[in-house]
Amino acid sequence: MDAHLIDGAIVLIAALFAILALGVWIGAALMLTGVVGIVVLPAVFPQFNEFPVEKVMGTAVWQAMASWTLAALPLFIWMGEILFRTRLAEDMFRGLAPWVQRLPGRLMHVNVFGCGIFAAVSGSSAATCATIGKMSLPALLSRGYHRPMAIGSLAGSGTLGLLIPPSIVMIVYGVAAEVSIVRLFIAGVIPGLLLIALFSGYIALWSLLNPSRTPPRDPHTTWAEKLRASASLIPVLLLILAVIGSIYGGLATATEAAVTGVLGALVLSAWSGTLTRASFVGSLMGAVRLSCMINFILAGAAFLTQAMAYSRIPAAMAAWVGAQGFHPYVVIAVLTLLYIVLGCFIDGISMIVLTVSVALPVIQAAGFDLLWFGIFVVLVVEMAQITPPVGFNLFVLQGLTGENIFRIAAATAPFFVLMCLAVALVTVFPGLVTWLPSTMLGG
Amino acid sequence: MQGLRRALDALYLAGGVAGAAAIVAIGALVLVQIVGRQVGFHLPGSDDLTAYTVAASATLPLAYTFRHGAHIRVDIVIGRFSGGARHALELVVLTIASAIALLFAFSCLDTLIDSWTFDEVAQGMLAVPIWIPQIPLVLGSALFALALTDDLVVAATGGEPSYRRAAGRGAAERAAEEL
Repeated sequence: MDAHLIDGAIVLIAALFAILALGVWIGAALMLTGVVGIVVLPAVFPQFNEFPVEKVMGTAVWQAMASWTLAALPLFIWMGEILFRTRLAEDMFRGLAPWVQRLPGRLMHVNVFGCGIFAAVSGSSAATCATIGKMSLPALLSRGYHRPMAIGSLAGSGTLGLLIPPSIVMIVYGVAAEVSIVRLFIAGVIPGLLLIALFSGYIALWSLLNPSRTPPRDPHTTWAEKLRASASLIPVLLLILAVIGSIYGGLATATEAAVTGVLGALVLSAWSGTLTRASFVGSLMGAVRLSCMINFILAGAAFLTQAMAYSRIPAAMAAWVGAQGFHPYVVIAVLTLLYIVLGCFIDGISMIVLTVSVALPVIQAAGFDLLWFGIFVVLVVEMAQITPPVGFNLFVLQGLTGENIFRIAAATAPFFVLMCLAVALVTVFPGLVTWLPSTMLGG
Repeated sequence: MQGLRRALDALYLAGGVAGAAAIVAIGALVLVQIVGRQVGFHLPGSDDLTAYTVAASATLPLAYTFRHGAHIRVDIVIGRFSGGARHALELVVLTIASAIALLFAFSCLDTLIDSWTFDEVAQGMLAVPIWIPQIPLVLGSALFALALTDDLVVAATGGEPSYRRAAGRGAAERAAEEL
């Protein structure tokens, strides 16, 4: 690598982290780093070409924002906002509780399965965590379940919101890396089920090893009662069928499925009597804020990506990595460590757009399939949601329990280890990710 | 001053409401496409129209979102300071962000002027001059620059910036609001 490229890369990375650490809003920080790349670097190192910053920025942002694919983002966010304001959480708890009484760990499995099901209608891990948690956590704690396990299993399972489609993070990755969102959605299913199995298995194992810490089961219910309780799950299952079914059946694109989801969520909300003027406006304005926040980061990243490409630094890094012939496992191990550290300080969406704008050529040069890499990134971003001091699921649980964020993180640590295991499994057996989409869609 | 404050706040809110209208419009456009396909009707250029509406939904509420403290940032360093040091840091951050937002707004305007000057027309079915759908981009980014400058002035004259007031409700409540 040429010396000026190495110097330039160091300057850019230092600038990025300094600006971020200062507390500049992330979208603006990405834009400023891009300005450093195409204005400051050429001024310092004559080898870099100068570009008119306003032309590059305006064009990059316009092309990134005027995107048909991106339409799925505000719609899925709106759907989640509507469902968050319904009685879905209560219904799911009532419907799931009778069935897990026999499992070792009993009601703690409601956290895992509840989050798994809610993840299939929601694209956000914090929303999944909060929706399931606001019902299950008080129920678990009042029955005397082990507090750290109840909290940890919820924080861990909440991250399923990212992996099980629909998923906001996958849309962001798909848009930024130009990977099919439908393929990403399908590819997330098996790793999602794998995580559910790992989480539930761990809860069962822990309960068998600590029998005294699991409270007795609720009063016995008959099959008829169980089935009647489960009837409350029917609306959400229909919604899952409408959204995911239409994507998997090849009937709809992600955007079309999102519209189906919004309509379904509105019907479900009206049917359960929670659709009021206030809840409608609240959900819509919530969706405006959240999608605007994400889009601003995407806009900043689009400009940074363009600025990085003009500097030719990513291409040089990619050529260097490609020439070293690192073993893919080594690359993934290094990247995972890097993401875990990054995840302690910045949120998942920023991590993804940074990866795409800076490191995508490197990842391709190292020989990774971008679809597989998308699922890998989602998994490590899930891990970032539960690492202190910055982790959105931890914030949610702090709100629900009033506990200190580091105590919550300690309770979540076993689930963090299980996610590391999932990353290892997906790396060693990439078919876990790629088999389903290639079987269903070909290619 | 009170009148100016109210006028600015109304302007930011209008951006937010326009963003909400845009999201509803995206849903309606896609719905028309789905239903249209069943009955063999195709709205010409609806894909482009959807894309333009997405751009409007992303940029018009930038200021509104900012005023609600919903734009995220890394606050583990700045969060450790309080009092005068915190105030000074917020001023530095606001100055940097205002400058970038101004550059952003200028770039969007420049892009629109270029589209106008070179008579750029959309590629797809809908042959509209491209500067028309770029208007929301310019308005939204200009409003965002205005909101940042607004808070910079407020902070520089000793006031509390809007996003800090919104953040005063605590991280958990904000997370709950953003769900």
